[in-house]
Amino acid sequence: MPEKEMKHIEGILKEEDITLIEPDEEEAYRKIEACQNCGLCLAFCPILEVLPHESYSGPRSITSELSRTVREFWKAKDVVYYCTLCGRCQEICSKNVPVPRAVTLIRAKLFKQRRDLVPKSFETMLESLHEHGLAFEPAAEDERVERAKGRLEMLGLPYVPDRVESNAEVLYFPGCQADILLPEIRESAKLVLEKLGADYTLLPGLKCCGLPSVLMGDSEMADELEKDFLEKVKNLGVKTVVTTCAGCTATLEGIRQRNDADFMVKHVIEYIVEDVGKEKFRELFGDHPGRVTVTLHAPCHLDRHVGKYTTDYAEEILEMLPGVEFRRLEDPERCCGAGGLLNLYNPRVSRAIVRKEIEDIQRSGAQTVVTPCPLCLVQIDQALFKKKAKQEALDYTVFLAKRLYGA
Amino acid sequence: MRADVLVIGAGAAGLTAARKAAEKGLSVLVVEKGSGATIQSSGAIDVVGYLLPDCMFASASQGVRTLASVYRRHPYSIIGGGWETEPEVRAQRSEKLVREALRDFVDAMRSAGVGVLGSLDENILVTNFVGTFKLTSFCLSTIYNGNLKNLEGSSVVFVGVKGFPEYDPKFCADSFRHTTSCLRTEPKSVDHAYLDIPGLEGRSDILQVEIARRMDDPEMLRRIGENLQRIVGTAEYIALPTAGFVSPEENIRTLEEVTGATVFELPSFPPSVPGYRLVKGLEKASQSAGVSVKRGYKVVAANCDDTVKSVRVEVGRKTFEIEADTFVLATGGFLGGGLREEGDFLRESIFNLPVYSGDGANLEETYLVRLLSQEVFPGCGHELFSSGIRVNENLQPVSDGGEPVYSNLYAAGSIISGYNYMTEKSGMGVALTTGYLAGLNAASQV
Repeated sequence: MPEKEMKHIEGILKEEDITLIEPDEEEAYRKIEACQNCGLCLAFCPILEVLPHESYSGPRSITSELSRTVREFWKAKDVVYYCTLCGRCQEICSKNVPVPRAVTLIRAKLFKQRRDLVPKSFETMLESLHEHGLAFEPAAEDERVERAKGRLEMLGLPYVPDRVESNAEVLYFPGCQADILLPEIRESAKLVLEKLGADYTLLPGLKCCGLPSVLMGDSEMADELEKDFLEKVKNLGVKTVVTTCAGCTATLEGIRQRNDADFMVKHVIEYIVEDVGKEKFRELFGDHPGRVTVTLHAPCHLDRHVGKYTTDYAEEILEMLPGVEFRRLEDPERCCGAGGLLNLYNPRVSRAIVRKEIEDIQRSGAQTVVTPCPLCLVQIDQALFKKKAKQEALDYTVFLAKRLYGA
Repeated sequence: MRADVLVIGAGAAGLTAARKAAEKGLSVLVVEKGSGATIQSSGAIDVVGYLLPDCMFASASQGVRTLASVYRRHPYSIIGGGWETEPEVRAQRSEKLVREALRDFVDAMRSAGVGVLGSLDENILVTNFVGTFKLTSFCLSTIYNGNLKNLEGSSVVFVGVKGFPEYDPKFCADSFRHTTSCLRTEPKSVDHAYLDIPGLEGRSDILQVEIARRMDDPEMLRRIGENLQRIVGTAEYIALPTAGFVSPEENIRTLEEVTGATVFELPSFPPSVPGYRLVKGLEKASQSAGVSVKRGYKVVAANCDDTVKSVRVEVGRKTFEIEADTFVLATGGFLGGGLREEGDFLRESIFNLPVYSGDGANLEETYLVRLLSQEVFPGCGHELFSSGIRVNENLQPVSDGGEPVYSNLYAAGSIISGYNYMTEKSGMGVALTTGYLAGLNAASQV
């Protein structure tokens, strides 16, 4: 089409507030259309389980009604921000309808066309992402190292300086949470990788994986972060990107698949089982003086967004550690309630969901609950603290480091 | 990954097969892609109800005996020992197996905390969501008291919730009056009422799930009880649209104490809370027996020579091979996903086993559309729903000549051809009995 006509059409579209559907969106819409409206998902939705709000109509309405009346997508504002993107609805759906994808599609549209409807509670994170490319305001380097050392001391773990190498095989990608809020996870990952003798490097100028931007609907920012990540990994020439965050793993894997990139994305759990080998990993553990009963909270972003096998891996590792007695939760795949930024949008509902999880943890009789996701960890840790529970919550990687280093 | 027995499908048939094999001390793994048809069922456990649309069996045991002695390709006939066996012997054997399987099911559900009531020797007609009845042999105990025999000569009130569009108690009461007068089982009085449920007032899009969740909350239940007492008057029976997800039996007891009436829930269409509880009960029973149930594991291919060596499973972004000594195929029929359309034809999804019509015709070259009737609800049902794979008396899938396709593969549930569970009302009975038998057979071959 000649440029002049094209410009004219674009002008009309803009005037009428019409946005064209991108090819990958179209594919998603097709999958969403497969919804038969049966409503089975309603029985599995963690939000509906805690009866939060008079206007939450559940996953079925997101796919069957909202996605089919694209023009009136904005009506979905009361529904889509409640979704934690746990993906349980998609998992039990006989048509495998991608409800989480429908949610992020609608959130992106709201962000683009009805910015006034985007929750105000997202603002701080939005600003931080636009300013620093990180979900949280970063600290100065020396301050960061001091904090990290302090946390390590409390945990009884040694500090090793950051490795930044050019021709490493593995890139360790801590993500915003472990880099800024929970530095002990980042440091523990380094300790584990050191013990494994891995040829790894950290990434100077780390930026967010893009998940928070996707969740807020800021797809332009997400695209920008995606480009940045791809370029950096390409320059480094690493074969594998190892993470300690469930959300980062799922998001970076999405980036890798979309761009058909020639590196692998693995959570440290996958790296241990697939690249190191369970037997070899087991040999690294000496006799730890402390015996502990442990249970696992499987994060949605690993269990369902990456694959159920990650939960199998996580359990298999815990089961073979010396001095560790593993106990499975009644419902090991329950959502913690923090996903999808629900913890920002509606903390009350978010907390009501995690209370169910806490009851399950307490019933298990385990002393420690571990989870390979910083977001789940904070949610569970705070809820345990509030309930004055005697159980402790630890990040999975931190737990491994503690067992490896006798702490 | 490895297991002694690998079961594909976590519906009624698959979970039963897995439990039976695990009870023999074997390591058993169930893989399930998402969910099938069982979870959408109403909460009634039918065994067999009708020979033809207007021809009701006096009882399920009579039905099983009749089908076993008369119909060559019906699963109830096949499990009785094949066509060479004397019809009477076949009928006896089949009935014995069905009895064993159903007794086993009721016991297993009880130990999982889910009450099931009923009998093979007497039909029960339970009142449903639209005021007609569902013919069945067993049902969840929460539904049982709504059977027409109980309600005859009594006062009944259908209680709905304003703003819950799927269930209209007035329509249900009217329809119930009509149904019972046709059957000459009239109750003393039929009434309807609307219940206020705290937190749902003023809504017009209430979900059954939301009502059920509120029933499970002790404080909410107390308030629901108070509201219920106010509206039901002196009715002897109260019909509710749902009794809850987690503790329906206790919830009903609580409401009965408050109202002094007998309370029951109505079997509903999907999304069915009783159907959900049924599957959860089966799942819990199999897990207590040591079965590992894996959801989100989709079997995409099989590696076979004259036996099945392993299956290829897609789990999120990865694929794995799972090896086992024996395999049970319990993937369901066309609705459950065990059969699928492939280039206009009906095909078995995983092993590409030969597919037959209910009359035993090989469907390799038959267009799928030919298996559908032009009517929406044809009296004898669509042929598509009685199509599936053929099995021998050990429940091994067979080819045209009657030889097992793979010696270590067994099948259970609606993947098997030769019956139409929709018109016969035999879905759960066949699933539970073939699951029971397939599990035992698969275990004995390890």
